[in-house]
Amino acid sequence: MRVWLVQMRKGLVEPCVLAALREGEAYGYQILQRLGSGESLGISESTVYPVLARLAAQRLVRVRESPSPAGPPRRYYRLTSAGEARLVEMTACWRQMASVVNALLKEK
Amino acid sequence: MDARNPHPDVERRISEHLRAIDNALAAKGVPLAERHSVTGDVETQIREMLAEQAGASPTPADVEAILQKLDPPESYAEDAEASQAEAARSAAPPTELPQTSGKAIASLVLGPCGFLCGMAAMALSNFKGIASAGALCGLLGAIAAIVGLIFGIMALSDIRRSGGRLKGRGLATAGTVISGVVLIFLAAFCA
Repeated sequence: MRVWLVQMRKGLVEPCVLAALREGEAYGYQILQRLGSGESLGISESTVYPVLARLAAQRLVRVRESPSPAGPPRRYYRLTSAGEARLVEMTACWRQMASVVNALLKEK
Repeated sequence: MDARNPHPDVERRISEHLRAIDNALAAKGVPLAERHSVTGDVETQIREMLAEQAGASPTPADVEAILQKLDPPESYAEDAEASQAEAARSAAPPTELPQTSGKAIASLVLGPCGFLCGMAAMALSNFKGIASAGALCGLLGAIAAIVGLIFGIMALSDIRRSGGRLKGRGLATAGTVISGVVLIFLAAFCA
């Protein structure tokens, strides 16, 4: 994959994952589906699952295990209050950056 | 899928894929707990995709088709590498060039000053009438050499403890040796 594209997406994964959890807890594969994996953002599981593990280590999300019909227990992720606060912060930051960048990129 | 009697090749391929991801993450120093979390999430996804696409009794070909759609294990290492590099960059102190120890320079200046004062003292002491000036020079030389010796030793210990942030070991050694020798000569001359 092109390096610039990877770089451009990298910072957006955390806010997107946190935002996907705003509508309630979900396990990894569900989060991937909420993000519309594939075409839209181009964020795939090899990025999302490690980010979930890191967010859990930072206590921005809490993990609950629940038995699954097949295979290992599903790991449900839920936003903690710290995670919600981080999402608010990131949202404000993104809005500000997006408006500046859009203005800069606007074609005359 | 029949969980009690899964196809052995299906299970083998899934474990291989998960192990490859675990290895890729471990090679990049991702902690065990985070690796477990990642492989658990991947396994859940594989099982769900299998159930959706192959129904109750998946065949090895079904697994192969799903694994083809997933990110290859190496891509996990790439992601870990990027975040690791980030962490290393933010943890590392700002890179600064090593500074030369000021004490080392002071020592190397004071040592020769002491030497010159000592020479002047020896020269002046040969003339009657200005012998007190010679004594004064000798005293100044002795003070310069003592301070130079102290600064030299302090500089050497600073440099050793700085872990590369201070340089000037050569200067400090020279200053210490010269100050020490001057001090010994002055002491011998006075005696």
